[in-house]
Amino acid sequence: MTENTIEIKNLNKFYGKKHALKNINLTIEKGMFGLLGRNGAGKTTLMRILATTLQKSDGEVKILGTDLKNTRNIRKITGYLPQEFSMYPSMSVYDALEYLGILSGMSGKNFRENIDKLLSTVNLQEKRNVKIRSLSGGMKRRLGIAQALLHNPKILIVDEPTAGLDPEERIRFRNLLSEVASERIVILSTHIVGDIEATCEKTAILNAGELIYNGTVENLIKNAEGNVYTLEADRSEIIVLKKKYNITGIQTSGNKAFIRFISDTEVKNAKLCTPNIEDAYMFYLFEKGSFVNISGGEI
Amino acid sequence: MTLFLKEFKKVIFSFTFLIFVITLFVMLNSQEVLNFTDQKIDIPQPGKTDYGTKYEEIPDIIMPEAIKSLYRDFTVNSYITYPIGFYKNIILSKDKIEQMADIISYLTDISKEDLLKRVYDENTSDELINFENGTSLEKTGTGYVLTAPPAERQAGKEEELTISVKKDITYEEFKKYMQKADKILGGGSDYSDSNLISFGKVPINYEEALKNYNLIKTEDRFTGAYARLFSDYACIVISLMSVFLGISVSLKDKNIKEIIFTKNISSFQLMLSRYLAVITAIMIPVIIFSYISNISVWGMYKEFKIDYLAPLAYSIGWIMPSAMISSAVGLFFTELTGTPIAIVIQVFWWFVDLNMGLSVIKGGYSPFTLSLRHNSLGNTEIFNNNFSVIVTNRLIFVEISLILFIMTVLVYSYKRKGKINVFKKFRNKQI
Repeated sequence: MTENTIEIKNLNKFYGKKHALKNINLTIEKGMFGLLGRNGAGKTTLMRILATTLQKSDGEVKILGTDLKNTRNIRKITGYLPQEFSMYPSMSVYDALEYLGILSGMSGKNFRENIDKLLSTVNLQEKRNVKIRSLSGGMKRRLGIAQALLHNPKILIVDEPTAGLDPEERIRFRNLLSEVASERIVILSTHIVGDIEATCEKTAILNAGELIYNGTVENLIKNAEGNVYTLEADRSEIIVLKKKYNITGIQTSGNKAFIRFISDTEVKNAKLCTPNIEDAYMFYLFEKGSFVNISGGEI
Repeated sequence: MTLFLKEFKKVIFSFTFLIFVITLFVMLNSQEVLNFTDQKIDIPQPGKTDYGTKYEEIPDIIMPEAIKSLYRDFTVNSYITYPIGFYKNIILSKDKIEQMADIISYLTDISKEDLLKRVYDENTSDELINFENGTSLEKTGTGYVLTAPPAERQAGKEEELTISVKKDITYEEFKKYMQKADKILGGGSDYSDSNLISFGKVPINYEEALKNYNLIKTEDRFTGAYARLFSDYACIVISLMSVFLGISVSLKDKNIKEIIFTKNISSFQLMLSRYLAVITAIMIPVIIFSYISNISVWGMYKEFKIDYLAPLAYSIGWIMPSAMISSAVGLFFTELTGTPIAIVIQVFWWFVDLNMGLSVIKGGYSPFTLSLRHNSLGNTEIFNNNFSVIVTNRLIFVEISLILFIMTVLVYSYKRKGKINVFKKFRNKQI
């Protein structure tokens, strides 16, 4: 099992006195794995440790059976797309891939064919001679994925890849990740729960450096069942309800407001509803006592 | 090789490189070393009165010239020094004037009192203005007092002192006292041990001029002399400008470090490709300019056997070590700090080195001079006599460059593994 998985045992990371990762235990298998958590939860720290650009404080991490200390071997089997992907702006798309491919130890005719194939996969073949400075944000992210896949890695680590993308580009990107996940482990770190729902079978939730959930997306949603309600109320009641419940959604129509909220006790006049992953994620944070007011300001 | 070519392309298509080449051209052109057509080295003809000058350590010349100079500086209480390469005008305090008077008195037999009478000391009064003709204007509690010079001075009858070193003073003793004078001045004066030779200026005679010519003809084969003079200027520019290319290569990665860090390539291989790319990019224009400069004289020596490889040899042997050290300083400090601090370090080193070398500008060498100086066309004998020092100097700089390069690899490797945390400043944003 270890030869095909990422095994994380008792992983800790300190930045000075700040405990950024607290005793993380996690096994990640082939396919898409979502790492969910709010900003500052420790996702990027974990991603960087797995990508060998950050030292762990203690614990054990084995990637496909190889200890993390063996950085050169880990880098051979890992592709990484960091949160902020940039490349030399004056380089063309093709030149950038060629350069990064050389840094990944690629050479020869097959390597150049592979670049063409990847450009086609990420739908950038028409942009091969375009300078990177001229690419849109979405195109840059797709180029980022292409560079991470150049050496055909067994592990792909992508950190917040859809942040800032328009809906069409986000869907295109998610589909691309699902495609490449069929033959490798893909770890998708994000704070956008919709990305996890659309692509991942398994997920973990990090909160303030702690792993508060590790399991299937299905179970995550299941756990929230019986705790998510909708209520039709007068618009003027919103302020009172906000103070009372953890609201996950408000839809207004004229004087009426349809409110979606989380509660662990039955609520009069409210109807139980089927939770979505967003509700489930919020329910988890709520259950772990780390729920923050997300109801927004006054209307 | 593929990576080297990629890195080389990155360097030569950068804005920094364009500025580098333009600066190099402008500097060399302004020093008129890109065209030597008006500087033909002709065989000296007998019977001429002037064949130039040279510096020699002849005590009988140095001692009287140095003491006259020291006395002159003493009387006006103004000394020029270069303590760490920087120009400094020294005005001595009363105590130090007395110490200086002791030295001059000992060396010349002129009484200390007599010497002190002749010193113009602006420290004696904050409110005193002395004029050249001896008149002084002093502010007192009640107003200003204008004092006319003594009658004998007005009439030009003031006794002039004859300054000469006492006969029983040996050169070694003289040097010892000059050292004391230099120490009082804070070092870096003309009276320091290394600068004292500047008082030993002697004319070159016909035989020496002919010998010099023959050395240029046989040893330098003419082109070597021109390549050396070109290298003198080019080395100054390269010692400074190369640091910018080293910095630029490293700073360019600032936003893409995270991508490059996770690639499979070894830190040594990546840094070596970059370092070689920078040095190659520096040396190509240097060699081209060196040949442009040298070709301008080839036609003047058609009847002689000239050295066509001299520009290449001087570029590699003389200039390249300076390019190596300067770019290595750029790479190392930029990788270490993530800032262009290397500019400050290199500019300071370059400036101090340049000023310290002023006394040996015509061809004097030390093992630790960053920009080797040989600011004369010919002077081959000095070059030949110091050849081992020159080789030692250049090898020392190559060695330091390689040490800095290895240190850069180590720093880069530690950064890649997160042992030096380059994400530190972002960690509060992206945990």
